[in-house]
Amino acid sequence: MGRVVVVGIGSPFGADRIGWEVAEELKRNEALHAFPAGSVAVVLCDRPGAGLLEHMRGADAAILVDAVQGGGEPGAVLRIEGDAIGEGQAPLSSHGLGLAAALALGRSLGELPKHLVLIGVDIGAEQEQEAGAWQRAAVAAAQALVLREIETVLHELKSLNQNPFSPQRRGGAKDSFDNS
Amino acid sequence: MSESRTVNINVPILARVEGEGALDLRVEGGRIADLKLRIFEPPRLFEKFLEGRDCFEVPDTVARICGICPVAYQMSAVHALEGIFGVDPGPWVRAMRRALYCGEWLQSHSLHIHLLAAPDFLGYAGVTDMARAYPDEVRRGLRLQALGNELIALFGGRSVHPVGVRVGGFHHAPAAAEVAAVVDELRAALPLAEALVSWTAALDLPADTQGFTCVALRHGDEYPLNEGNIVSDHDLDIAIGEYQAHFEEHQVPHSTALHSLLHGAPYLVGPLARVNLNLDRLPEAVRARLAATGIAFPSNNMFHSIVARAAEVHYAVIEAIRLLQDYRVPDAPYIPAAPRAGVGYGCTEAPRGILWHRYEIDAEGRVLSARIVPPTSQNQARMEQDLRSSLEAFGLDREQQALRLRAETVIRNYDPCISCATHFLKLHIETRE
Repeated sequence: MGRVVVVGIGSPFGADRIGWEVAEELKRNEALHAFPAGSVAVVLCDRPGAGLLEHMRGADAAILVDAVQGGGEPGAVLRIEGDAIGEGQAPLSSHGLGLAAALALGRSLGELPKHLVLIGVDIGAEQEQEAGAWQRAAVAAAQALVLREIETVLHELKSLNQNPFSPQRRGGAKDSFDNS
Repeated sequence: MSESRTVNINVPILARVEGEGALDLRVEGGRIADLKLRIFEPPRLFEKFLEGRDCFEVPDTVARICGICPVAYQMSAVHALEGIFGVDPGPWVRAMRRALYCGEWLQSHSLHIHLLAAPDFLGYAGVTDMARAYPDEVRRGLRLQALGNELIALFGGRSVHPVGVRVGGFHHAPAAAEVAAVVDELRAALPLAEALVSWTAALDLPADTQGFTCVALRHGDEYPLNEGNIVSDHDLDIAIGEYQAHFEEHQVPHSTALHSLLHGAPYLVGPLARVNLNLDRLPEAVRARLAATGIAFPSNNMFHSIVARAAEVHYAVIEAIRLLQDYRVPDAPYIPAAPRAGVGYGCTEAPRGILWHRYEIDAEGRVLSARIVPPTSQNQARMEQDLRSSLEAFGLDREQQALRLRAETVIRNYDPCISCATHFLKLHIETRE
């Protein structure tokens, strides 16, 4: 059975909470119960860094949700392939190990899940955007994208497993996988 | 559907940061005529934000100041408040707070050594490149960091909300089985911590001894975490309440940064200062490992900070095992505290150095004023002084790229707590003959 982890990434400040909001609402979402027990975990991650790799350990697929500044209007929701996320600069401080750098590190260690997708919610140019009308709609849209992604990935993993020639999966995630 | 192009994602800047790191350098006639460093904004917004709040909200609020060291902020805060309210939480809380702090040191130092500092000394642009050649070492760092987080999580649970520290103790006492599991992992990690000290000492560390004053806490018999006097290697020995009589914040004209000075001069806080001032408080096993490296401590070579950090990782593992191996669930995880009016101080050793708090509380338990002096603030003057000296010794006629890398390496020695937004140093060099 495939294991998917959804990681809501954020920080306590302003619009940067949106990854958490999506994750929190997802946890309450009935639609999650449609997936096989133990196949989906939803976690929250405070200011990504090396800890992000811990959250993804043992998963076949990771769906990250985070606020982004993509240059678009606030509320636009983007789906970005993990491979497409650039590397970022050498940080001066531990805080500087942001999302891109953490993923690059995971990649160089060969530790990223095979399927990795970022659902980015564009918060617009203002960094300290507080909740606006666009926020509710964006959270709903992001959730819908995440659910669709989970479905796609689980379906792919299932058909891989039914293939007698598919390689053995790594097991042993420390976090419990349940739909709560 | 997906294009093959690189997308640059900018993660938003936190509220309290007003810009990127900047180093302005003016070279005249082969000497540094002017050097200005601006990389840290003190948490003034938080100090203001705390005014009027109920004192019991303080621990959770201050934990937001730093994503990497929330425990440190909570520790300094609760000690200050308990001082005002006349609360002594007792030996269980005291011991568990030390264990919690060990977790934070372990997490923070491991991250810094492997992901930030080591690439400099091994000649890599960053850890991603280094990890291809040194995957075991990087994995070691991540494992130690994860273990630190687990230790912290014992007391607060896995979530984005801050750890379960409260005035009087903890919200929750972990179950004995949970603690036992972490102790097992700590024991398994001990060889990694030992190897780390030797490994850091064997790195190609520049020789650059400078004159400077070290400041740290010092306690009757412990390596300092939550308690002690503030001491220096130049005859300072004061109770934490006397801080303001000796340490002064001085507004620097070129930026909003404040330089903290001891008797009018820059000073160093952090692991190197702590090790220098508290060698005799380290357990025998840690002292022996350090001695075996051949590096003499006390050391005034800032590049030895990485070794001091490694020694503190070793210490944190040993001390956490000691504190938790005979763990018992207490009758109550906290002592109730009734607020009263007064002024109190807390000074504890954050991973980066002493973190000093002062609170004034009214009779209803509301915060009248808060003052928070983080370690990175205190190191800024020393960092500028160091940069001047280091870059001149390095050679100012070197290429801009080499100068920038040296400057960044020097800064990284301090493990500065820059807010998440500062990703890189903008170097402006103006040269005149």
